[in-house]
Amino acid sequence: MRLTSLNRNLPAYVDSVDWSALPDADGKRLRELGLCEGASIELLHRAGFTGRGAYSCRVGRMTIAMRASHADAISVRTGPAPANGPDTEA
Amino acid sequence: MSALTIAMVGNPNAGKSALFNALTGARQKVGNYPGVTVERKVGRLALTDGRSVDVVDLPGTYSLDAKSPDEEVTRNVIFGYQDGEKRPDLLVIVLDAANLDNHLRFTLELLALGLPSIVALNMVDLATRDGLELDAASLEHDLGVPVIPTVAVRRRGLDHLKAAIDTALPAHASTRAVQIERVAQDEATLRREAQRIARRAIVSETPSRRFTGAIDSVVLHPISGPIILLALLFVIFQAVFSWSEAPVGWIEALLALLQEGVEAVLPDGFLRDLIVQGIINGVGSVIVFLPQILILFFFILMLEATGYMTRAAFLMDGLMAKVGLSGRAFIPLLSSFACAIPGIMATRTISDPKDRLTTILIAPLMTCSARLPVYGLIIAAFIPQRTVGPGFNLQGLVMFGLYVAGIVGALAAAVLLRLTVTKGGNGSFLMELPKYQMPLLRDVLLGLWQRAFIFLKRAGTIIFMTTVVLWLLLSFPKPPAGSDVRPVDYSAAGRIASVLEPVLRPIGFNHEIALALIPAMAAREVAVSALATANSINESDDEDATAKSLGERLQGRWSLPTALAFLAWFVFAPQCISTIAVTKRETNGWRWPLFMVGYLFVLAYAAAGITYWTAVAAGL
Repeated sequence: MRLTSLNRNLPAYVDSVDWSALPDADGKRLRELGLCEGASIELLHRAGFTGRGAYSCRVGRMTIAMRASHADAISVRTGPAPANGPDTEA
Repeated sequence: MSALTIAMVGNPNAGKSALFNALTGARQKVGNYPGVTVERKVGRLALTDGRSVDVVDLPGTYSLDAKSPDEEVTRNVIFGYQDGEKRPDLLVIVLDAANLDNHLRFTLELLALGLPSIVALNMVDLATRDGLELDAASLEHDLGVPVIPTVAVRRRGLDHLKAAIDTALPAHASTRAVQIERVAQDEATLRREAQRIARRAIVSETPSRRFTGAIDSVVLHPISGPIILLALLFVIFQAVFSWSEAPVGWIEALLALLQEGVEAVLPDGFLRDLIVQGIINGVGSVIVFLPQILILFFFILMLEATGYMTRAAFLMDGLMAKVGLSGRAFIPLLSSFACAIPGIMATRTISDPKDRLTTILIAPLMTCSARLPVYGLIIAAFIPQRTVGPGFNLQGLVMFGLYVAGIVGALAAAVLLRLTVTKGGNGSFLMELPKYQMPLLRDVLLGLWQRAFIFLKRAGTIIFMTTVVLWLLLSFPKPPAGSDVRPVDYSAAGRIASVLEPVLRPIGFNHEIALALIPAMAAREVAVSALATANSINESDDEDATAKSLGERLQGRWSLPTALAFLAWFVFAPQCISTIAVTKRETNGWRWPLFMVGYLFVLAYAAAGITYWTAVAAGL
């Protein structure tokens, strides 16, 4: 499922990222912030009264903020991250 | 032999600047790298063996692939390409202990360059708070360089770090510019290696509901979050205006004393007028804003140091995105309510150049504190003091309306600019929300002192020059003896006003307004004293008395539509010269400041015109 449809405060991990849907610079920054296939992720907050603002997520031990357009390119699976850690398939 | 140089380098939010402050204390110099608008911070560190070295605090970056101007400077300094900086002799790589796997990736990239390096494993206390126990020795073994655990804000580990610097620093500074050939490194390989090393260094990890998470659940909550943000903004605004009253009074008293002193010492004549009217009044009218600027910066620095600032950006991103900007533009725009200069300087954190430029271009539309004296004068003189419903009075509503007009104007301008001249860029919002931390008062005060210094330096140079030029224009040439022409009308400025008047007459402006607009270019509030001069009122030291009697005079000379048009004009146009100068510096050229001046004048002319014509048509 997409990160945009993940319930809040539910442990999950990144299954795949559609890097082609993101501007190059954003994809690179996401990876620099530790968001890559296999990383543990948890949706924490959505900004705004209407709940249509930016997303905040815990990725590994970091909290990062992103827009819906980024979250939409990230596919996640619920449950703990695979034991052998991120990027095993890379 | 040139001095040895150490560069502090690391990811954003690794506590690098706190460590830099702890190492160098107040012995810092803040400036800009030549040709770019990136702040250069250099301090001096005395080593145990008596040597003294330069320490450079490089902007935080995630990798050596630079995206923003800040990151480019970091890369260029490390590689030895940066103008005005020699290649560092030693790197102190600052790591956030609680974010090892992520920060180690950049560390590995840096270590691969082969420069002498030391790792400061910083914020080990916060890592412990998060349930992490680390083995520095394992890290040292895997990285092959000394690893020193530190807590910069508590000054822990500093002696060890200094001793390690002492040992690792080469005996002599490198005199040649070594060009490092970078080994192409695969991002994924680096990441995997970083994670392997991190896993070995983590002795135990207790998952704990973290402190930061608990605060965020209130601060970022869809309902309480915006309420807290609004309440904070309210407190900041109150503080900026009410706390500054006393210190502004002191500065004014000091200026009056200075003026009296000069008048007592110097004989009547050119030199005395130049010093009193040109320099003391001119530069003084800008320096009185120092308290407001410092109070605003105190809050901004506190919010930054605690980690709340990024949360404010997070909450505001939705609104900012609607006008094509990013949440990061919120802080600079907020600062611009005090003064556009610090606001424009604060845009440096926006990495997308188009986002940044748009934010700079709309910053002057935020109602800065210099407009208040002008609004106060005209509102008091022309808007009746009567209540319009419970708790509202008309004068207050007009003042509020002027603020709202500025904000709406800025948002509309942002939309238009993003569709035209600043089209493109992805207007992205992607950032780390750092852990909350107790700010260190010493670091905040150091930051405040640096801001004050930058502001006063500008007041002493560019503002000084322009006020002197404006004073000369207003004072010369003098009318011939026996002439009944008023000196201001005869002066160069008076003649320029006569040229401007036909252009301004259609929007309801008269000759004295045209004349007041010229010195208002130096600082908007000078329009008040210029009107006073033009009205030939004996200048009084008491601003309120001047404003009052001036207001009464204006009532008889201006129509209500003219007064309203004058207010509308001030919502949009008159740039102060310092804003133009800082825009030139921040955009590296004249193109954008000239564009900004042009578009704001057109906007001001249109707004004043529409206000005037509507008011006349309505029979006001």
